[in-house]
Amino acid sequence: MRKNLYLCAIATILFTCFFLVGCAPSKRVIPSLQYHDAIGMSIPKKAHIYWVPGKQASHEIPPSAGYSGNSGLAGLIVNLMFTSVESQHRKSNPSQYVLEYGKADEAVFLTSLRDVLEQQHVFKSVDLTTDISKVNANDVLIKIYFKTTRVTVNSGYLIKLSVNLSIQTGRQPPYERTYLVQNDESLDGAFKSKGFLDKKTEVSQELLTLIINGIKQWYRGNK
Amino acid sequence: MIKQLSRIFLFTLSLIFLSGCAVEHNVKLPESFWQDTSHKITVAKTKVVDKPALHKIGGQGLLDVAISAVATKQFSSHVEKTSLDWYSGLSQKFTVQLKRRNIFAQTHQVDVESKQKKNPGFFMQMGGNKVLLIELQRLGAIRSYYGFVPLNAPKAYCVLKGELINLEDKKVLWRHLVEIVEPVQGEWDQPPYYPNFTKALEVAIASAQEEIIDGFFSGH
Repeated sequence: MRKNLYLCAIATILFTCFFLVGCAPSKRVIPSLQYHDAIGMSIPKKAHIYWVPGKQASHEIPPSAGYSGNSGLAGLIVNLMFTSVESQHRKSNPSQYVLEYGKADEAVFLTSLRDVLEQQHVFKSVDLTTDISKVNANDVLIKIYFKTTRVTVNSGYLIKLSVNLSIQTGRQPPYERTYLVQNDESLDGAFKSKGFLDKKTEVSQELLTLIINGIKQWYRGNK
Repeated sequence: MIKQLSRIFLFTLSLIFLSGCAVEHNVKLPESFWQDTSHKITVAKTKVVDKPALHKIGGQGLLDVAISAVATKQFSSHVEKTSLDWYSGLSQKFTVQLKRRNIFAQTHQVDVESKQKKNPGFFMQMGGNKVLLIELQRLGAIRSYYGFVPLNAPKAYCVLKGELINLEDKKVLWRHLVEIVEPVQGEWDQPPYYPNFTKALEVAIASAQEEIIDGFFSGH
């Protein structure tokens, strides 16, 4: 009996460790985004991208219901051990149990936007600024306010980004638009759903296209 | 035996397929909508059927329901008293935003009953060529239970749905479902006024309204 308990305990600890390591996604931040279409405009002014982070509503992965393969006293002990190992892992690695569109993702988004605008020579130069008081009045200030980023999990991952774009130059009134983007909720054929990172990348890519379209519209309106 | 197995397989497959079809997905408003200037939109809202409540999720038997109802009586009655004034103002907010974009819009003053919602002829009487219908589906708090044992603290909860229906062909041009679950910051169990929970509910309501409006006017 005692031998069985020891064996069960060792097996549980090993299983839990492998399980927890397996659950932890290796990469959680979106990769650099690409924009392949030609933007086709050239503005002889310096541009500054200013980032305003907002509210991040994340989803916390609930604790697993435990290991139910064994009943009786041995099962109870195994369950308790499983839960305690999991809660310990949760305490030391809290970020692994939270699904969010975080500040790191927002930062990647902004650097991608800067890179695209730079590569396509849309402005004389583009940089990311942290202090708008230093921006010259004749330069172009592109303010990106991530109003809300929300992650929910029901039948699949649902990521919603609500972003304000504001473009201002000189004494003209600012061009302002709000964009709400979300990933496709439907399954991706043959009942196979994409992973969380893929969905985040998909929604970021859509937002990048919309922001660039916004910049194009602002340019057309100010020609 | 093989025949029976294949029947079971087909039956399961069709169940999965049908359950997948039953889900209403969000529908993006086509860009062409903003180029057309002939819209005459009536903005209406549905009558609130379920008053604000504590929504319990998880497996509960009759006895569990009764026990948990007694345990949360004071909290539930506080949630039920949540004001719905903001909901009355939401249609007006849409109307103002539409007019700001030079679209003809009017607010329908009488709430649409759920029976009328299923009757396409009813919408025709409202005037205009499109109806923007807002529906408050759920409001209050949400909490998980295992039997009568609560598994977590209640969270503020608001579910809103918006639909733009083209009256000519009854096609849904836009649909957006917002579900906001807002955790309470700090202690939640503060009878009799539950200030922290009330604050979370206000945030949930404001977020839901903002998202549904942003969803419709996204990029415009």
